[in-house]
Amino acid sequence: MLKRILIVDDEPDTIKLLTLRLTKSGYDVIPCSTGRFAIASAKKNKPDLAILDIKLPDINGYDVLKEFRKNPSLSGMPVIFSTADASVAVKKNVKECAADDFVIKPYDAKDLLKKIHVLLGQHSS
Amino acid sequence: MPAKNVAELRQEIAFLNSIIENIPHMIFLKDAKELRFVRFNKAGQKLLGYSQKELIGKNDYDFFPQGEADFFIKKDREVLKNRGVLDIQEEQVRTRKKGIRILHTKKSALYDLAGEPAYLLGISEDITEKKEARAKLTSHEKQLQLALTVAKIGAWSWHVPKDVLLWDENMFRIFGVTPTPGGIVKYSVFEKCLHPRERDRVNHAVQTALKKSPDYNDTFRILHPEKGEREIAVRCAIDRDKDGNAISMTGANLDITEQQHKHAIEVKSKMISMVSHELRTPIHTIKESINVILEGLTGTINDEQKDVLENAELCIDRLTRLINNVLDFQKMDAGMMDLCFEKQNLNDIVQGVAEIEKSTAEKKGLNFEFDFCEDLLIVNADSDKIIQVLTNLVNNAIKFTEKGTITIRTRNMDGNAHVSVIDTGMGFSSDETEKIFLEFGQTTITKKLFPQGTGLGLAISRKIIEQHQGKIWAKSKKPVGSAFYFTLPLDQKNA
Repeated sequence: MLKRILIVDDEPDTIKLLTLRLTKSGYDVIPCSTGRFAIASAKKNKPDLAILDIKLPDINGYDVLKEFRKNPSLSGMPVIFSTADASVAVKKNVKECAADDFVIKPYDAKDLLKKIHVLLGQHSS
Repeated sequence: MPAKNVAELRQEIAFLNSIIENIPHMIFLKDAKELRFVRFNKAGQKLLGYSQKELIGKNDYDFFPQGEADFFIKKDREVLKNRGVLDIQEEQVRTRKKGIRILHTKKSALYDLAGEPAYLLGISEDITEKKEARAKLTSHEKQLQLALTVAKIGAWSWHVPKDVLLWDENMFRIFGVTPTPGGIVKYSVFEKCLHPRERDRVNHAVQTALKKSPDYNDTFRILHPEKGEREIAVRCAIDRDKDGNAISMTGANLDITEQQHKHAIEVKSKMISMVSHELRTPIHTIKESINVILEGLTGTINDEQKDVLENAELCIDRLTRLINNVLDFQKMDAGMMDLCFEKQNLNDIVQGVAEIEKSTAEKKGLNFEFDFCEDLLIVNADSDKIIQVLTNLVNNAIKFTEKGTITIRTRNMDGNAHVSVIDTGMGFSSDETEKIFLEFGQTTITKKLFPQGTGLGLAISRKIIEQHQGKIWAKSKKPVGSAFYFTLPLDQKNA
């Protein structure tokens, strides 16, 4: 069965391109554009990994992650933060809320794929 | 004595008695010899809490504590000896019902026909409440002054027709003027403090306000003798006579230089983070779009298309670098480059960068040599930032070297970790040694050969190293090559 990845980003272009890339790389993609929708969708679809934007229109990425961690079936799901904010503050926050990894836009999509492989235990590719 | 006179006399005595009894101040008489009480009026009996009966024939020691009685007696003797009126501004008396009261007492002697003192007369006013009220007022005044001092607010009042300007201590402090007796200065003293470029404007504003405004609120710059240019805010009200002529201006001044500066930094900070976010997002979309097509995820492309897109990708990377540099520089300039200090082995950081850059150098046909010292070089540093500096130095070395060797060396010297990046490139002249670390300080040749450089790389590197309490410098010999060095203090506990 295909590994399922939840993408949460309020930029339609980012979602579109990431969906294209991840689908071509053999993943099943669930796109979401708001935090609340992401929480609901994750509970329902049980993704294997989430790529989470920090700045979202309703609630921020950190709070979405907290909700994930509260849910027994999502608490162990790897989460990669994706952000356009390159400040040290963000790096500290990411560390504090125990996200598994993060990428800063503009990032190299190949790096993101590598991180996904590692977190899903797919070292071969 | 005729009967009529006796009656008149009685009436007069009754009248005097009535006055004495009804005066709201304590009136008392003591005999001049033994200082025993002869008479107390009603106010006196009420104040002390003893009746006339209880008092008569007794002396101060029968009613008051030793210390108080001693004081009263001492003063009585003084009056009897010196004649005249003794004014005791404040004395304390323990009363029966009202506790300790503070009195303002006047004492004088009454004389017999022979001119010898017969009685001692005392009149006392109970000033306890008055004194408390005054103390309260003083303490409020003190508190207000303290509040003003803590808030660094200067208070002042200007009598306009007389040109008498009263400054409190804070005003002298704010303007850096030596305090004058009574805090009295003239408008010209204030005027002299103003920044020369502000003088005309402020004078005009004050004159205009005096003519028709109820108040005058402004900010202006002054030249403080020690602190230099300062920004001062003023708020004041104008009092007028019934014809509308300005009589006085009363107000407060505050040095707002720091707040203004803080505000400017806050605005800058918000702008930096906004620009950062707003630029990175579309750049990411462009970069990823190009990559998706280049990698053939949307279908195959021909070589010509690939060539064009690869160029676009290079441009995007260059733009990203430029934005990163400009933002980094702006952040440091605004003092907002917050570093994430952690203890690490500098050798590990240098090795990491060297391994990545080795392939770039070798692609260009250059030798790449490492020369690491064997000691642990434990430094307290933000590894991301040190990597940025190293990458910048090594990239520069590769960029400016056409053939030969790039050498990266680390050493443990005088409590510092030393890192050198040495190349055999074109080098630069000695008068450019300082300039290259300044923003946009590229050498003339650099600008010609590599116009896409931002001219910020070394300036940022310098700031990063300086924030680590280190030093960065360079040496070069044209056309033998260049050497760039930086030091970081070793963490003493691990030295």
